[in-house]
Amino acid sequence: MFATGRSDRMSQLSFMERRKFMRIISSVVTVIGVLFMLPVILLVIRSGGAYGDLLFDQFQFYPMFWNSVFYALVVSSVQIIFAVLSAFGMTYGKMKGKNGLFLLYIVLMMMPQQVTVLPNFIQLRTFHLMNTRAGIIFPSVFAPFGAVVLYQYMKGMDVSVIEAARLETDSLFRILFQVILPQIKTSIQAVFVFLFAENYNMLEQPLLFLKDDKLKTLSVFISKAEEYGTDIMFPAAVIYMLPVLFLYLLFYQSFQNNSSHEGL
Amino acid sequence: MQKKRYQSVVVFGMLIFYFIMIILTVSARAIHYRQIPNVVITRLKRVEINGKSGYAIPFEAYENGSVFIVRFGMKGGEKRSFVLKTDVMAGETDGNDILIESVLQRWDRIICQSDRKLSSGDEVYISK
Repeated sequence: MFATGRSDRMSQLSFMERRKFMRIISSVVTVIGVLFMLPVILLVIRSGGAYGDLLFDQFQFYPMFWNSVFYALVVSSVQIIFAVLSAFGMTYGKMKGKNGLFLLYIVLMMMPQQVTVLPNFIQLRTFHLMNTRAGIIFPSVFAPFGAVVLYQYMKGMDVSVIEAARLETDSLFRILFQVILPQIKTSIQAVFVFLFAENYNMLEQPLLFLKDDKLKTLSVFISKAEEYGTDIMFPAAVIYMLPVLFLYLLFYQSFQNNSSHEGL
Repeated sequence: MQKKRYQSVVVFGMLIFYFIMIILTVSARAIHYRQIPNVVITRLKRVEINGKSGYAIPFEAYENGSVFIVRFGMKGGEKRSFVLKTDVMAGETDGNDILIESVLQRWDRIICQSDRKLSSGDEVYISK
């Protein structure tokens, strides 16, 4: 009703009026876009002269950079494996309390990370994993976000395809790898980009669970601007955003298609 | 086709970026050491010159009443070496060594050779 009314009104507008209206809309969108991009543009401009100081004088930067990439890659990869298996189990498994389990996943997903920091701290201290790489990786690999998103996607898949596959084979793994995974490939890529970005930006865990600077991440380096010098933080921030940007650009098309389909 | 080309450009850019980061990780420290003065250090040694016994430094380390000593300081989250110009009271010399009568401590690291002109506060790399 509303849509029809609006389209009627739009059709009543003259060509000049419509053009003027579109111009206003595009100007507003451009201004908003520039406002969003402004911090990034300023960051890139201000980083100009300090790359030499960062790259040839701050040697802590390199292990921290590689640690960030390593933690993000390992944690996201393991998370995506668990997410696929959990989503598959929740979608096609026949068990009691499936909905309750999914609700628990949602609650866990909504919970701020700071809430779980103390239990994780106690657990890591008990298992003697403080100040180790494993201490960062293990508590992070069981994040529910990927499972929830993939579950939503799998739920929307055509069941007849799975049933047809069940006639061909009894192996659940064959069904998962040969029937389901090829269909949700783009969805997995999109979820992986999100998980990578989230894990790449982790700050609380390295700050609380690690003492050795050589194990810490680039986000810690950037958070200690006053210790390392504020000038070198601009080029550090530019380099910091490149791995996620590259990953986003790599999966950009599948990410775009998927996000529009699922409202990711 | 266009998607594949786009993806190859991104993959190429990504590979270049990580390749540069690997090269820099391996070589940044060596490049830094080439940019700063490389110095040879010595410590005070006990000698006897013209019947006077005391602590001495090599004559080349002494320059118009002062010497450069190495002090450690924190930079970029790690311990680095810096030079400090220190005025000393010198005594007898035999051409090779010069007796030092005050200011320096036995454990001080004194710069006796440098490949560049030094000034107080410079970061140095101790090559020997």
